[in-house]
Amino acid sequence: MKRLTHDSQVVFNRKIGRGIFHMRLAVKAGIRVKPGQFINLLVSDSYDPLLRRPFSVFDASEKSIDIVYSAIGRATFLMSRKIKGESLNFTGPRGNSYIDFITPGMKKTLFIVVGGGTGAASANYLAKWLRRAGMRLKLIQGAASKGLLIKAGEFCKKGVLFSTDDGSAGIKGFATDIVKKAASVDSVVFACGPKPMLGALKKAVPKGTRVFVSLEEYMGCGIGACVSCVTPVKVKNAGTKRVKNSFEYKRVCVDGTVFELDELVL
Amino acid sequence: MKKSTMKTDTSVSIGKLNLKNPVMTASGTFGYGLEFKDFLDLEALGAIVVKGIALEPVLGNRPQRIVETASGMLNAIGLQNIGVEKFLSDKMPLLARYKTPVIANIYGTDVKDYVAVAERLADSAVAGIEVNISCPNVKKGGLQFAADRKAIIKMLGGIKKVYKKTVIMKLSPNTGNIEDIALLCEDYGADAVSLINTLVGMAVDLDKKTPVLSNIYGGLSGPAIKPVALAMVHKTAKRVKIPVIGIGGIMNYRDALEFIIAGASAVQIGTANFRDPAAPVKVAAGIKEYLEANKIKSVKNLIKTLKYQ
Repeated sequence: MKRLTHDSQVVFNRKIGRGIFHMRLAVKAGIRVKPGQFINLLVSDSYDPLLRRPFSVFDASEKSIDIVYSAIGRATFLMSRKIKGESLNFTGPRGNSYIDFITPGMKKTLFIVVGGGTGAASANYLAKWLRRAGMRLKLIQGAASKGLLIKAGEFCKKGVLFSTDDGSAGIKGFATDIVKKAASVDSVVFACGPKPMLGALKKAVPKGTRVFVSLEEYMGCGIGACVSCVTPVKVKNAGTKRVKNSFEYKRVCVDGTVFELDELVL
Repeated sequence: MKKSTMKTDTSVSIGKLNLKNPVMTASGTFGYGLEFKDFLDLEALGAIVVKGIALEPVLGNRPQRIVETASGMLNAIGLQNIGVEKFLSDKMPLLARYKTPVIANIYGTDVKDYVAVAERLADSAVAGIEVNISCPNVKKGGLQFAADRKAIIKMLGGIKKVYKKTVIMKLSPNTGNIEDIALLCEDYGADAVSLINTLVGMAVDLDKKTPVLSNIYGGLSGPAIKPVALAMVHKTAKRVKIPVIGIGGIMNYRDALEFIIAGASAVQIGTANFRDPAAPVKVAAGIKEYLEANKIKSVKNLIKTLKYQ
């Protein structure tokens, strides 16, 4: 039996923006995380909150896993109060990875990596991976305003492009506006962010551009059992006698979280 | 000191089934079982009850399908499932590698469908069926049968004719008198009853002024419903002679033992699986330790032993 439940200890839990926190967890060696995967944290010993909360991995090393989260609800508020040395249990890492979609033919491809809001978390880890692999990379982050930008990790490096809705940092507008200028049919776009951003991506890129997005959905178990976090995905050969429905529900937690944008029914 | 040589017996019988311990998984919270193989030893379970299976695949409800509530959660999955054929061809061969009995939860939109699924499972490796007449989340998900005495009689008659192994009826807390329905199921040949399924509930998004769930209503589960479940299990176990399987907010072995003392012969672990995927085996281990610590020879000696003041 593979063990996919782990205990970890808080190394630090820093505020890095308006309501945004960067937490590092010390984990036992040998837990390998791929870009785009998430961990499912048990936030409290009490039954409030009852369920685990999934977080994309922002960074990972041999003995640590980093997450970046926004304290917006009860669970994330409780997390923001965690201090160094406190224990947190998690399941995972689970989910597929952006890099599952990278083929040997993409050696010279320009990868445009887009993070919107806290979606920047998985974008960071992917960007790090691509940089290390020697791939061509353009990294973009969009947020509502300056205080909500995540300025950590890869986003502190040169050449990163930012957008804010109010123009308080980077260009005024959306991350997809930057994508529009950068994308060509030969580039590959990886993105994680709010649903409207993912929808806008479709229009921002030339037809035929491959776009892969990491989705966020309300999860129950986070291990593929409860089928709560589903998203409609187009069915091949729809309309034929044997295939009744034009779409089927796939589980974001284990069939994703990364899907090809073209396959999704948004 | 002489070490005790007493062997603790955690086994229980449900119909024709002998379970190594009284801990099963609740349908809908344990997928097809295989999803949990990296989190627990499937062979340490009393039985695996898989997600509800229909004659044909079912898409399920639109998201949002789940929301957490105070010490509980609401779900309205809508019985998404792969259908009985795919279950038998894709899932059952893998499940059959484990020694743990597999119980298939079944449902249909009419009595005929239920009987057809049961018939299809009759010669399979499935050890028993749990008949879901209590899903609150789809228009025709069984709940319409929950208090329909004529339909239940017809359904059990049909199922018993084609299915000779153990038949468990899963009952609803949402309608009528659950003890009366349990008694009816006993009279018409059910080997056991399991209760309770989820309670109908609702959550509202104040900002958007909409229901949180696309289905508007969902089934409430988790620790929040345990007292309701205990009362219903207690009332039902007083009335019927067949085993009662207790379900509802069981999070640990103490919760499980409370159900057993109140009258349950076995229990099912549901929502707890989402919080801790290893919960069912921890409950089973906890029960064994409790028996040993209290020098109780068999878990059967605890069933229905509630003392009244």
